[in-house]
Amino acid sequence: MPLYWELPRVVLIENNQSQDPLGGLLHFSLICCWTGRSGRGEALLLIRWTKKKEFTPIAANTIRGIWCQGSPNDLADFAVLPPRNPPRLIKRLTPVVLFLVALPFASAQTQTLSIVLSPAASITTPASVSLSSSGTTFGSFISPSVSIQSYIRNSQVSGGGSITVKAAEFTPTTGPKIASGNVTYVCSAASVGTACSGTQTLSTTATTPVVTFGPASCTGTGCTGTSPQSVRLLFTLANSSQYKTGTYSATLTFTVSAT
Amino acid sequence: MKKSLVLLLFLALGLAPAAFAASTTSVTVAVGAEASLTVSAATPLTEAGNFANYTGATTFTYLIRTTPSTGTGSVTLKVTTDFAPTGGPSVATPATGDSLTYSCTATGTSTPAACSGPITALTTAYTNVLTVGADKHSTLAGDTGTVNWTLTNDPNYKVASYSSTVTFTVAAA
Repeated sequence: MPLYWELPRVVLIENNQSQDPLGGLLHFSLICCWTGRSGRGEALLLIRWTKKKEFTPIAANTIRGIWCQGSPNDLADFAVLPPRNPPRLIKRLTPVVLFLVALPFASAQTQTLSIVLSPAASITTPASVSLSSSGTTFGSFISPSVSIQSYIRNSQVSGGGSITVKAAEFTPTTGPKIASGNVTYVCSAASVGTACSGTQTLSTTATTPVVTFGPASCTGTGCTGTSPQSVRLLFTLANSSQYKTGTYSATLTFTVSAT
Repeated sequence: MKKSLVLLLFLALGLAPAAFAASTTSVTVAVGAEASLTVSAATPLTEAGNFANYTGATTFTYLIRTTPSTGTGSVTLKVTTDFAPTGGPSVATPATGDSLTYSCTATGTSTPAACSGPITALTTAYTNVLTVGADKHSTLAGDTGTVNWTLTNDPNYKVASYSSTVTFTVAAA
């Protein structure tokens, strides 16, 4: 059992045992007290419970045993009664702890924060778009203005990016067919980048352009355009007498990329 | 140290990953029964010989889409403006034994049933030209039909040029 000398009237005893101090009497062998003193009630015992790393003050009236009589190397057997209340951290340690915690805040320091921003992009599209008759018999079905919103950040010098669209075929299959070129669209009002030009034909096998981004494109404060950025599309579906009557749906997948 | 920073920066730029994101939109269209019709601009009626009936043909093209199972379609006509000026033929009040009649032909993927004729044209009601059944579809360019007109050549008609207006309708359900 190691022995620690502290202040004149404080003896630290490290308990390598794992007993709970509430469990009953604990026996220690105290190696030396202090020269010239004997009796009881004169010292404050601090017992460190190694595993819990807590100091438990032991009141003098809980100590039973024979104190050292002379030589610093005398042994004295004594017992510690279990305290009535659960052990607490000794208050005397508090200032030390506070001091250690407060130390980093006591001096001014500068900190350099670094962050690597990679190209990033996100896109939001309406859940659904309904095409309706243009008003003339066998006139094309047309969509309302469809707003595609996105965020993009690409590389400053060599960056690029795009928004493209690709379709899955209409279902059921007895109606219009995207694969047959029945659906076209035009792009306009791209707040960032360049909207597709002319009339694009939607495809089920390849992506077709919506917006093309140049280097250093970004969305948000300090960037040009709106936040989020947007582009508008108008879809047109050829109306054919060959379609069977019914309701047809197709899924369009818009993809935004940034490099 | 500077070399290391420059190298790291270069690597960061060079290895900057591309970013991708996707979003889907469902496009929906309701296709209903529909039909349209285009009729040749004017149909002259001519006689093949003295007092032979005047004849002529009006061609038309129609697009049609009918509903499966319960759908129907038809082309009809009506004389909406009788011959003018007076003194000649009349659809509304024909001279005894006179009439404006027609027969029909039609062909196309809508498998039309053309009127058999002769059918007397009326100013008071639409009369049949052709019918199509359920789930019928014309070609993209349209199916075609012809109305072959026959007008009595009555010697009582005053010498003049007469004209009337015939309105064709197409319907699909």
